[in-house]
Amino acid sequence: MVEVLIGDEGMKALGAALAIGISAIGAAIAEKDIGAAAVGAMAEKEELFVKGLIMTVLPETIVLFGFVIAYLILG
Amino acid sequence: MLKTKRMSRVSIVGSKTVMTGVISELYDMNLLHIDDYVKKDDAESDGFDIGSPLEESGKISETLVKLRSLESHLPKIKGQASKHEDISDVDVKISKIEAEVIEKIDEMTSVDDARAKLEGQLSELEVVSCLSLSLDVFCEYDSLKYFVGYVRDTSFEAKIKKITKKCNVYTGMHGKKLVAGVFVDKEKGDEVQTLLNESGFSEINTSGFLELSGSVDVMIDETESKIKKLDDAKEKINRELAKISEKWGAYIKSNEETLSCEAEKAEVPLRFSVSDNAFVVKGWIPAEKFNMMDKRLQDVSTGKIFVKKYEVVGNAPIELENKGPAKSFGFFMDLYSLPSYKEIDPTFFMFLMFPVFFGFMLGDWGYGVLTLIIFTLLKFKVPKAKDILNVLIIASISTIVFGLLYDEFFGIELFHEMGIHFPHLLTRSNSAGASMLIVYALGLGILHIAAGYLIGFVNELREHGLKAAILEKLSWIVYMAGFFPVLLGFFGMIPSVPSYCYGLLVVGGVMIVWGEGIKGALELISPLTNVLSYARLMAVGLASVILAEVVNEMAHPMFHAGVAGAIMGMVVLVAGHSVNICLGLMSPFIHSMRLHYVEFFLKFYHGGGKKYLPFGQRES
Repeated sequence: MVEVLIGDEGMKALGAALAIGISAIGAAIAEKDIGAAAVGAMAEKEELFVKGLIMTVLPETIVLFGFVIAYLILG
Repeated sequence: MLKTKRMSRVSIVGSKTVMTGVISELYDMNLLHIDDYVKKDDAESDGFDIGSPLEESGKISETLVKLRSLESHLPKIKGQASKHEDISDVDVKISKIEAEVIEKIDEMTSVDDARAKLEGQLSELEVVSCLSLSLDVFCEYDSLKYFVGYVRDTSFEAKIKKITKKCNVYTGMHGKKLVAGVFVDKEKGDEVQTLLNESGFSEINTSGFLELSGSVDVMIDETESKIKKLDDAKEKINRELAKISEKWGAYIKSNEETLSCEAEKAEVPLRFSVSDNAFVVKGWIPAEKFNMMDKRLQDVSTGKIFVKKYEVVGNAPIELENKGPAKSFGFFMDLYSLPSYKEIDPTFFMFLMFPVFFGFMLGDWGYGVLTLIIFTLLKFKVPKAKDILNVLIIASISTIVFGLLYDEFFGIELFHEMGIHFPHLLTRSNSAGASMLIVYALGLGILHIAAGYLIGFVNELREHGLKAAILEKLSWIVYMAGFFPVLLGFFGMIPSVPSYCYGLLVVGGVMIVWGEGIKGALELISPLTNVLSYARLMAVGLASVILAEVVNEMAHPMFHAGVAGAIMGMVVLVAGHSVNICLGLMSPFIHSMRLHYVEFFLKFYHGGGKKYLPFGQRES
């Protein structure tokens, strides 16, 4: 029933949206914790800025996985 | 270029009689990175102990403290340095200035105190003025007690009247708050206090009013004029301090600088080891400077010194040695961790690839030209940030090059719109182009990672020999050469997989497990995640282009809506593109940095080098 209403293209688009959206939420949760810890560490020792920054952007790759999957679905 | 500066370990042994001269000479040469002497057990130290500061050290520190305290008390110091003077002369002069300044500062403190007191009184007077009472009523009474303060409401009045007839209540409004003055029989004081508290009474301190008399308003005027007088006095003191600062500022500053150097020299023996008659200092100098240093030290000490060079053992301090534009990229190594002495300095590789990644992502020649101009101007304004600005200038040039490849100018395909057939190689404006771009991005990733393993191979070869280098680093390149074709074949992206690719995959995999054990086996999937990470090159770029297009599309209809519309349109364009440029600089910068630090460096880099900080280097 749902398939009839939305159609194949729509389902694809939904799938792609879910792939990137949910992976972005995952990355956000991970970055939230790392970011908070990094800021805490930086307050103690300022030289940790770069290490903190790198650690904080590490989970961004998760979004990229989602992005690639979305791309494959749509492509 | 790929190696850090070669260092020699030296030890200098000399007679204590020439120590001061040697210290001065070392300081002027600004070459020796001193290794601090750490005292071992008495049995092992062979009569050597940590050196003690030079004689004049105490005096220097004392004067330096005075100078610094003066510097902090005086208003902005400017002016040119004066000539060098003997320390005792400096101390005499400084003590005089100090006495003068302290006197002024004491005056200032007493003025400030008096002013604060008057300020308090003024605010109390302002509150009480609404009660329309004379100040004479606030005095010591034999049979009366009075309360003045803020209250919530006047319900207390009726309650007080119930317990005593001897009662006068005055009320008034100060701002939005109700103020009450209650005069009652002294005997009923405590009960009245309780009743007032029920009405939310908060007392105003009137003890200061005992000495005052007459009208409140007159007193307010008087107090204000007193405060004004104190302000004038303060102004005068400040002017006098400024005069002192003008007269002595340059003197104080130049002597502070000279004495800081002297203090550093005087305290350096704390890093030496000394016996009764000799001193020993160990450290590192750039290898090519050894002979020069040896000669200068022999000259200054008339031969009462022995300088010896050792073969390099242990960790030499690191001075990066890159030339030309690559030099500025040493900034990234300072941020991360300096390379260790034996390994390859990756600054040059970063110089090659960082701008490429940056340009690949931002890729808009309009933005590129704009940021190039901004950063070039900033470079003259802020010489301190020279390194990072150089990096950004090179990145901007790369942005222009990629912008031309993409044919993008502030989000518009300018040449295409103008009807010029510009042969651009890449495009981000349609999905076919974007698909190609992701392939290029991933391809670039594979090459970058392979390059990382190759550098790792050389490092490993130097440190642990050929077998380790092949099994731990080359194995990954072999594995990747098989892994990616097989993967693409699996997803049906290439028509057929050559059979030798399976061979490479298996051979590479076995070598990895052999070289790195179970950890290697667990990592076998990592080339995929590493390479996918390079998809950001396309994704971040696409986000920036689309944002630029959105801004253009928002502004476009406004230009057809009269003059006001055109102005609005301009505002949208300027604001939108400014935001996009800021984002467009920040995220490509961070992402290029991350691709290097995480994906690239982890393939070969150890880091942990300590910076070469020669004795004598002054803070810039």
